[in-house]
Amino acid sequence: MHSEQPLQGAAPAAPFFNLLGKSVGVVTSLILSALVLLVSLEVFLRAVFGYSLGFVEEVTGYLVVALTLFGAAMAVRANSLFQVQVVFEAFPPSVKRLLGTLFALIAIAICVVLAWKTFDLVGSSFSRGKFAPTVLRTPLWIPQTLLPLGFVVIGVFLVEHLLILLRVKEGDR
Amino acid sequence: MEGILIFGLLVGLIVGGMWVQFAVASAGLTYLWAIKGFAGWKALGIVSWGSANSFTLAAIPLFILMAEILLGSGLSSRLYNGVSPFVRRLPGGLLHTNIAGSGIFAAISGGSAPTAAAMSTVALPELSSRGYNIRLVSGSLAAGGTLGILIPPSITMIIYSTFTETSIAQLFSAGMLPGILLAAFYMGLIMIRCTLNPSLVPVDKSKLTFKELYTASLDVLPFLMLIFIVLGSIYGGIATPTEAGAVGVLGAMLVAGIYKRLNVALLRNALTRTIKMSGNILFIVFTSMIFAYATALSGAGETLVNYLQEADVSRFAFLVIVMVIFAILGCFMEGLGMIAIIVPVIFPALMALDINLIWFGVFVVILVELGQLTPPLGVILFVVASSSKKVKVEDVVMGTLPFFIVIVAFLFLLMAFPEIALYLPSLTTG
Amino acid sequence: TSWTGYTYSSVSTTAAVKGMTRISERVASETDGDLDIKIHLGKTLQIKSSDITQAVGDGIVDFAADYFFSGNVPIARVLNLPMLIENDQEWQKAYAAMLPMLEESFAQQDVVLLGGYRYPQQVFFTTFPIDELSDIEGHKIRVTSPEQGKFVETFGGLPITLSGSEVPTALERGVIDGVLTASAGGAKKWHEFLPNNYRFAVNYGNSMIIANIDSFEDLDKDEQATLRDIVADEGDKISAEFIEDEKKQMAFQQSKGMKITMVADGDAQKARDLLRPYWSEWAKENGPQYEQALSLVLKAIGK
Ligand code: NA
Ligand code: NA
Repeated sequence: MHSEQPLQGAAPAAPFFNLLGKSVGVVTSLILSALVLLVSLEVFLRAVFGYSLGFVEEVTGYLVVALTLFGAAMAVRANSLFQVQVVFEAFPPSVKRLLGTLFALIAIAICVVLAWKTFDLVGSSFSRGKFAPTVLRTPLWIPQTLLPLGFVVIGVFLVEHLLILLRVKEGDR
Repeated sequence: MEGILIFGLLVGLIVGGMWVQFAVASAGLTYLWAIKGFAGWKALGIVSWGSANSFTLAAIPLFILMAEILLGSGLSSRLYNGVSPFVRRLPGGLLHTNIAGSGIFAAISGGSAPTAAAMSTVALPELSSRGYNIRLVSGSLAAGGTLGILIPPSITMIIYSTFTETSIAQLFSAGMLPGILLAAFYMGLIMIRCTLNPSLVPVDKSKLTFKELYTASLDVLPFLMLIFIVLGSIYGGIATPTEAGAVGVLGAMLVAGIYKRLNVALLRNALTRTIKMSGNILFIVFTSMIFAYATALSGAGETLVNYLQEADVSRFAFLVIVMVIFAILGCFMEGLGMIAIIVPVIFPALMALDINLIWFGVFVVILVELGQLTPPLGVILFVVASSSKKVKVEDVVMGTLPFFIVIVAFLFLLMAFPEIALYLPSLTTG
Repeated sequence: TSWTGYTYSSVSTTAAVKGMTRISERVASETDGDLDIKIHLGKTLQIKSSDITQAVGDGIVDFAADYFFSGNVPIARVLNLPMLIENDQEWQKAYAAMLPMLEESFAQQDVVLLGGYRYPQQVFFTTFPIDELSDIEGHKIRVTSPEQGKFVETFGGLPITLSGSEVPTALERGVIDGVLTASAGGAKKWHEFLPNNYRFAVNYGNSMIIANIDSFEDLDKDEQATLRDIVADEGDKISAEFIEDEKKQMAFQQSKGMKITMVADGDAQKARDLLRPYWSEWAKENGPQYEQALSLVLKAIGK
């Protein structure tokens, strides 16, 4: 939110990151729009016809999962994840770079662990044939796939962040 | 006591400048590892799903989107143009609209984060460009946001009632008066500070004509329409508090459309900004739930609470100790997680000390508010900071401090005069 | 051995949680502390109630009370079909008939079914006056399963699904007009919004007490037997306490001004006739295993 510099130019992979960023942005916008429409439709149908779709609570939960992770990925890319910078800014540039690299590596490691563990969950739900006990009877591995997918996307943008950080370091020399 | 080491790690990473979400996740994963080894990570899949898959959290992106549409369409600056002539003689001027607006918003939304997010999105850019002191603005918004869980409807109270089987209706009516009083105290604080230090707010000495006041009140109209739509949908039995977020988005689009401010670029922009801001907020809620899982598994909360039960203390001392525990946990936990960890454990002690459960519910809700305002992990602090590039977390923390003191003082007032919470519920039960 | 225990229920004073705590205490004392189960309350661990079977199967939790198992063991839903099981005797017979099938289905999820307990019947609580089933016509009733939705629809009501956390505000403002729950269940929290109670039993709900299969098999034979005995014993006690609490809560709610109406003549027969075709329809839709389970139950209760 403060040091908000747009992340661009992790060449030569920049086109890849840009394309991914754009796609995630479009998909997430659609998801948010779908959330608005779905919830309003439920309100409208219930108020006017006394009819309930019966799956809005369920699907809204899935959309929130997507918004949490893809939204976080977008925030990573915009370099706007919450940070307390007052101490960080006081460090000399070399320490800043070192810490920044360390933080990015830890964050990437966390994404790897979470992607891996949530992927295990997808496998568990799939092999158990688990479904949501609602009218839709959604096989749960489908919405749960959003979790590993989301962590991978966050991780990829963290890698982009790291690449830019390292490149700046070389450029300074 | 690995808990203390983990807490140290969390504080170190956050203060060191790591992304807060990943600092919390690091501490959570380390905690799990410390308790159960790598086998502890096995739960991460199901815990991630349990934390992120939530209907009520949908209120956060929905209310932020509503606010972004108001902001992007210029309707919010119009609102401030409309209100400012009426409050110019009040010390603190438009700052009072933050409190009043949060109070109104609290009656719509069930949570603090949606309240603070929506109000800050609209108010921060506007008031800072008008020359209000940024810290005071942020502080009033963070404090105002906490009214969201005190003034009904309140998700926090509903969660509290699921652990204690207390009446939700009585909890709701018990929160009303404290909410209004606290808002009044916030306004009092703003007036005192601005009287002592007039440089905190811009000076406007010009005289106003009746015609100017008339046009000004016309500028308030679109906002009143929106409030009418959203509050009407809740009180008219059409929408629930979470659903009201979607009604609010459509309402904001409708009002923007009436004033011919609606277009595709505006919507696209609002969507993008909402996604980044709500992703930021939802992700911190998510990681703090992983941390809460580790804390619950470790039994640290219970150890803490058991000390206090063995101490065999008086009621007043008990309550003060509860405050301290909430304060400690509140530094690194999200509100609902704190209730889940503390309330079930101290429940028997409450019965033993004959503490009114409705009153205690209000007490706990205010403590949760405090927890959301304490660094290093104070969700509301981050919510306010994320709404504008001009403000840093540090500014929000400093700006919130005076309000924080007011809230603590209010807690003691509530202990001295429990009727503040219990008067309204007593009317309904006779 | 140290086990992680979990229950979906959040209230430490409810019969279900007190029973789980007793199980933990008795197991500890009867195994001389060899098996130590730490019970965590609902919502304290960030595991959804509907994920408990899976959490136990995956070994994240070793021991649990599980109410929302139907996503993993859907066959058990036969027992919750509206109007199929109408009283305690029928429940005992139907459950006994289903037990081998249930144990098998839980085993497929890597879970040992140790026992369980049953809630009192789910009845109507409404904001509008209600003397017979036909009074729900045109009213919005919150349901918690598609099967309950079918029942409400059959009598002209409008089934609504709604997150539990929104129910109180929704009742207060008239977003919904009623709920299906037990006096000792949801009505405990919501009774102030619900002036009317019609004692028509739509279906029963039950909880399973389960353990992770590996954790269970790691216990020696004596410990396994001890655990099973204690669970069976305490499960019955919990069910009995719920029936007591139901009476107590009914009396309390009545004293607070709730109008309680007993089942009207002919309503039960009418509902039975209307819902009967639905059972077989439902079973057929779900597959041959369900038809088999239904016919087992029907035979056991002689319907
Ligand atoms: Na509220
Ligand atoms: Na905090």
